[in-house]
Amino acid sequence: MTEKRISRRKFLGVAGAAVALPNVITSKALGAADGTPPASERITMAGIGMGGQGSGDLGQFGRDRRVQIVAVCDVKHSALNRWKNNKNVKTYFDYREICARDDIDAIMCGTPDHWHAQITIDAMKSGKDVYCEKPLSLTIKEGRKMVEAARRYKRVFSCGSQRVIGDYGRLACAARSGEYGKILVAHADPGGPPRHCYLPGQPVPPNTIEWDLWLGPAPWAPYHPFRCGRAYGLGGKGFRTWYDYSGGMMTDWGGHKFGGAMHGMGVDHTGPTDIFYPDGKEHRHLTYLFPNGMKLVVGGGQKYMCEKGEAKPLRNFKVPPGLRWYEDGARSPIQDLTNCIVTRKRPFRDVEYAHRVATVCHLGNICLRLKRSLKWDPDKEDFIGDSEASRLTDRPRRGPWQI
Amino acid sequence: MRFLAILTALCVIARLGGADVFEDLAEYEYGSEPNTAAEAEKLLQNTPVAEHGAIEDKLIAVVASKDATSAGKQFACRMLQQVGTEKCIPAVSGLLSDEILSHYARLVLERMTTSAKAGAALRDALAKAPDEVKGGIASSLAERGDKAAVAAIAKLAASKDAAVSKASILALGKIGGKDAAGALSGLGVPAALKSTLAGALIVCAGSLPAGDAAEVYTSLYNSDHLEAHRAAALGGLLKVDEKKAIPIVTGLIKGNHSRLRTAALRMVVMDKSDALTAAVTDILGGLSPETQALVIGCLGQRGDLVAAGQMRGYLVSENKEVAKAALIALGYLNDADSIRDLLANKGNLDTRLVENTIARMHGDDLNDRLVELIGDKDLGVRAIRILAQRGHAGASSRLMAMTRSGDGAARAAAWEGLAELGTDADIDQLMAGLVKVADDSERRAAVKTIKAICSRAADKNKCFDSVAKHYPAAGNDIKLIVIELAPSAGGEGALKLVRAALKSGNKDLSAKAVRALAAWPNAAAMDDLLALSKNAEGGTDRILALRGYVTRIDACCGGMPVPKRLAMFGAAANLAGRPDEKRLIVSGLRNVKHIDAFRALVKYLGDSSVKAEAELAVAELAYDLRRGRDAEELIPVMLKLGDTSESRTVKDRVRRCLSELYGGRSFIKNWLGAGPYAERGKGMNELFKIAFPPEPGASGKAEWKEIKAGIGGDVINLEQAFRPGDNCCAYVKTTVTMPEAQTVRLEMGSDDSIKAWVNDKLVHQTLASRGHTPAQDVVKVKLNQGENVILLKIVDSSAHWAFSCRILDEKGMPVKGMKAAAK
Repeated sequence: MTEKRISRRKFLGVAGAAVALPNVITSKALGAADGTPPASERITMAGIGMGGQGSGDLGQFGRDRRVQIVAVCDVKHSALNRWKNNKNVKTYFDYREICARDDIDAIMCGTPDHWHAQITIDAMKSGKDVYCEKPLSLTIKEGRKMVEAARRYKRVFSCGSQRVIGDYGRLACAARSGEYGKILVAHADPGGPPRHCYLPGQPVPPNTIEWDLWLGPAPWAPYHPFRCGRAYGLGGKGFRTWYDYSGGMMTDWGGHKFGGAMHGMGVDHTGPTDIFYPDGKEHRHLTYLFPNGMKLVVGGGQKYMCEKGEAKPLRNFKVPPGLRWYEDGARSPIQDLTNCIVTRKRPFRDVEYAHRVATVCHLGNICLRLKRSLKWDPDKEDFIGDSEASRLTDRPRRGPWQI
Repeated sequence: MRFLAILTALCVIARLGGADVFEDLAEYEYGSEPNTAAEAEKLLQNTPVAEHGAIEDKLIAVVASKDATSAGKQFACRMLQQVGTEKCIPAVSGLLSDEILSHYARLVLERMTTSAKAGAALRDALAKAPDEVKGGIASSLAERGDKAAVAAIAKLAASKDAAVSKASILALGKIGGKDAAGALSGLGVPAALKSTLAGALIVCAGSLPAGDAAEVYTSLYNSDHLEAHRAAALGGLLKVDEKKAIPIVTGLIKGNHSRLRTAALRMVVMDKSDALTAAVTDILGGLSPETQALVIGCLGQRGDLVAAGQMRGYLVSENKEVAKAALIALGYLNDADSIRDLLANKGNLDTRLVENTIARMHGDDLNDRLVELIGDKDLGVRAIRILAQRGHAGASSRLMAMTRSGDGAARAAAWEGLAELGTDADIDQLMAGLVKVADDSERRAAVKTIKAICSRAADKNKCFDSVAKHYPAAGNDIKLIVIELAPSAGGEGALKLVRAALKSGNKDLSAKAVRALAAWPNAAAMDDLLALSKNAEGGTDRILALRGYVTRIDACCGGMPVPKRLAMFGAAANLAGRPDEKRLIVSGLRNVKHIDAFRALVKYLGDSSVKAEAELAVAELAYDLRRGRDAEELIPVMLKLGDTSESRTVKDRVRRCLSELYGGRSFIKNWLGAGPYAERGKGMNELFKIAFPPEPGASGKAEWKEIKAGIGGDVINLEQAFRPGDNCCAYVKTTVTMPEAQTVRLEMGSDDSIKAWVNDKLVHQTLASRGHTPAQDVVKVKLNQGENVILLKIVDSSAHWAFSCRILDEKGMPVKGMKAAAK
């Protein structure tokens, strides 16, 4: 009865700090129960897709003393240059060589989106845990296969998106605090769908890129630097502009913004039942209706409209009961995954949640492409009564690739 | 914009009325113009579903044509993926043997999931197609779950071509069923494909009856396959025969096989099996503390309440990590029955971690359990703190009762809890209780509680009325508290009471009233504060009032018109003599983002007592105003400040501000535009050469219109200024007036190609497919005194379309006195 009261600020300081897991995170935990240390004292990790985002992610992993980077892979030669002189890190053009190494515990996948499913599933089949950048998938079906592989091979799989909690977590806490009543409508505005690429072919510059490997499971197309440019690079002419390699800004920023909204709404374990095409009348914006009656409107910034008005983030926020958060005091999905590789717990951006968010992005793209409202069965993960739409839930992969 | 979009669609449809876009699609090559692939796609998306049949016919014609290009067929297949019916199967299946087009044909056939004919076409092609495409076709059959294809694919699985064999093995696994399982089991494969075979068998076993599946899983688990496959086999076995699997899982947890052990732990987290929870909790006692901590963590996430009883036992483990893991696990389990054990914290864990863990638990009866504990001598304080964290208002009546407890610490905790959970309905009772509080620190806690409730009350006046009700009969000390509470209410009744206290003649009350006015949460007390500030005899009260007045302008008058706020600062400035008072005024003015505030601030630059603060405020406010209409006025002040200030921070701010003032100004935003111009069949290269009417010497009349849309900080987005489009161009021109003849740098950026004329003379051209960045092309040109016409032609190939242009002197600085106009 003599303890002092904890201020909210102090509470946050503690809750936000990376809680040390001293005896849990040791080589013994990864190694033998009898205390025999394993060959490596650290989680050995490989980076696949070493562009801007991939390099940044891998750098963050590398700053954790529990992780050792041992290999990197990219089909673009220049992406590997900075690693060439690092004797501790081996470089590859073909990720399959990394999968074949049994001394690697986990991979970070930072490739363009059309490779995510193939690489991560192959990695899990070879016993590796996975950190995959968002957006999780290129199609709805392949997202589900990624979930199945993670469960089948008992792997820990976290998708990227530091913004779900980092940028939108406080808002979710406010919306779920009860202060504003029940959430009625969430808003998020990630951006639009991709388009087909019609760029003319150019000769592949020698010693720059393994073009067939860059295309991988995507349809064959002639080389052009704007086709495979970084994200939205080169004045918007990067891979993310094109349908064969990405879901555009809808899936890229949707991973963040829909992810944030669905987290707050508590619907990131399921999916919508209706996707309303923006008809300019009843639905001014693309709108999703979820089984719990909440709506997600694509437009109007990032916000929650609740029974008692718009939820505003509190400066001294607290995580309300029942709202999922990072594990063991992690502050980012990267720290979270590293913790979970050791503890075998489910990370905050577990593949199932990431798949559900990516699905909402894909549904938006399909709705905008078909220009009509759609009905969706979130359990069967298929459209109801619209075979044209159903066909767009997946795409065949170019041989020999299959997942 | 909508009109333009409709117009574009009409143009496309009009084209279809004449020359058929799908006929042109047959000639399509990547990058060719006009972009018939894009036009056909657009047309398809704008056509009602009922009319897709007609489009399908045209697409079939392209696919079936011997003369059609490969690219044309590719895009036809993309569209048929969406709209193709069984009608298209013969034509599409004709592409299955082509090394490139086979994949495009599969886009159509694989996704026609309910068509038996599509399956038959794929099976037929499997026998005839070259090895290069067989794997892909097998994969499509597998995605369709085509059991009729098993025999044919099984033959291919034994192929000597490793790629064909691998794809076929994987396909058999996905198709599943007894036949596929039989084919896979009997397959002899080279070492390189052993892992593929194991993976396929695991997938395949998922489609078998439990007994058969168990056999496959057991055999795989006991083999020398990769650990990943053995782990997956064990997971499969757990689903179909948990009696067999569970001892293996627990054995792995106890054992020392690293990879399989991590998989077993994942099973504890993820795999459904009631018996597994019991079995794992049973072995906990025999594990090392480190493994105990790990397993307890996994059991927590498993969320099976069966484990809760055992977890509670581990809360008092001698090993801190085990106890901590048990605490977190019980938090996951949301087990209300554990609350007392958790709060008791006999394991001496970090109190904050315990409380935070309970605060995040959810469940209907958790709050009730915590409320029950409020009166508990040992646990009550913690329960209150957690209820406060959980924001459970239903606890306030118990807390009210606890403020009358004989235990001082309990009373203090109750006051703190009420600060979070009390409502305005409790105020009357709290005030009555406050009168009886003798201890100073407890009284402070009580006052803090009442303040907190008042500050979050929805109806603050009503809330303060409950407080003020006790004022007339109260003693001096309570009266002082009531006045102190008045600003937290901030209503009219509260202000009236404070004014009365001010004039009461009681020195203490009067002084408290001045402080209350100085902290008033809205603008209602401004006149009172100004009047007090003018009282030269006021001493401390005058100082407090003036400070309050100045800070209130900033804090409470933000919604008032700027002139009114500036007048208030002016009034305060006339009364301010002390440096700290002037600093407050400077600080307040800095937050009024208006040129008049800037002008007022500049006057303080000459006041040595606040020079440093004034310099920084001027530099920062100038930066905020750099894009305003009065930006010109900022420049001389900034230039002078940059020269005279001794502060590096101020100089940095000035430099940043000047850079933006010049940079933003130097990009020309006043343009006339003409276009867009395009010609059928012409791409960027051709359009670049064609002289459309706006070009010097060209025939025809250009129609110029001022560009109003798409104007960004530096770049002009031509997709917004005209319309989105590929393979088109537009002309823009501006008239630059020079104070004197001068050689300047003409800096241009463009997406994509650009040509530039100055006074009808071609001065620059770049033919390139590129994205825009400012100043990609720089040319030196001589401009005449007076008016000069700058004409640019921007040609777009595909995707974005934009340009920027600025004129700087030869040193790269803005040209003094230069003006640009859209004429």
